[in-house]
Amino acid sequence: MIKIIFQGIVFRLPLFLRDKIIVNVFNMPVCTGSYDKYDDIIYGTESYFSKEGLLSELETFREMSAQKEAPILERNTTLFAALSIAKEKVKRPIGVLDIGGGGGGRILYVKKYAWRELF
Amino acid sequence: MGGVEYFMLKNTLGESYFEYWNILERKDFVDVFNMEVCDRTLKFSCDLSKIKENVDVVIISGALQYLPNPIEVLKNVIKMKPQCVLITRTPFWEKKQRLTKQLSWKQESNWKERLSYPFFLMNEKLVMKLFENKYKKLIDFPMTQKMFVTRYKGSVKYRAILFTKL
Repeated sequence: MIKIIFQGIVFRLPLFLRDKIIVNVFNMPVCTGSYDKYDDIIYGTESYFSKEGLLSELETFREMSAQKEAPILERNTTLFAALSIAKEKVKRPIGVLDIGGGGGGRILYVKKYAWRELF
Repeated sequence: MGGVEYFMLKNTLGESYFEYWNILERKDFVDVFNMEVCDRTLKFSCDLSKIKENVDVVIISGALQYLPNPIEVLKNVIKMKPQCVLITRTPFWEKKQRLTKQLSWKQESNWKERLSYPFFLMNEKLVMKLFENKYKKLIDFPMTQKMFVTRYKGSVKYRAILFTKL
């Protein structure tokens, strides 16, 4: 059984294009030659838009807050801080480079030791 | 964090707030994204060295650890002289940099023993040294991250760090 989880901006694509990406994913160095089929695909970000997904996020937020570690809100506040500081300095529309923001870096392969032959 | 935030921020701050929002991704993704998702401000690229515009803010969220050479990427980012570099959801540790494997994912506890993929652990001091004398660390806080490297769980710390240009 192989499961693939997509996060990031991929969820905005039409389904047939997501499939195109999945096919291309199998050309990635980490899994070259390892897979010839997949059984299940999950788009992580989509869960944010369902009631269940939202409740799950809220629960995570509560857990994080209870642990007195950085909650999601703090992370977003830091992003706002970065954008505001840059805007104040350059005083023009700002250019943002978002490395890995599409979700490609966070594709998760679910298979026990699927890539171990590479190391 | 990541490209998803662009759509939220565009609505909150207004499209004119940004000159562009460039997402660096793998070529396979970029080809599809540029066809289907991009707009006047949102762009996709697959080669850091070919980005010629002014880069004011660099966001790297949960990505460095999955790149083949994260230190080189950071060096190239610093050469671009952005005003701010925001690194989040990124693991650091005090030992020598090494490639290992990541296990587990947050939502499905029964997958714990079944998920495994390559994962870089960066030395914290080495990363900080890259920014030395050029940037100051404005914000630094620990992050709860349920993805973890089982074998080294105790010595790996996920952090969010905001560097601002001196």
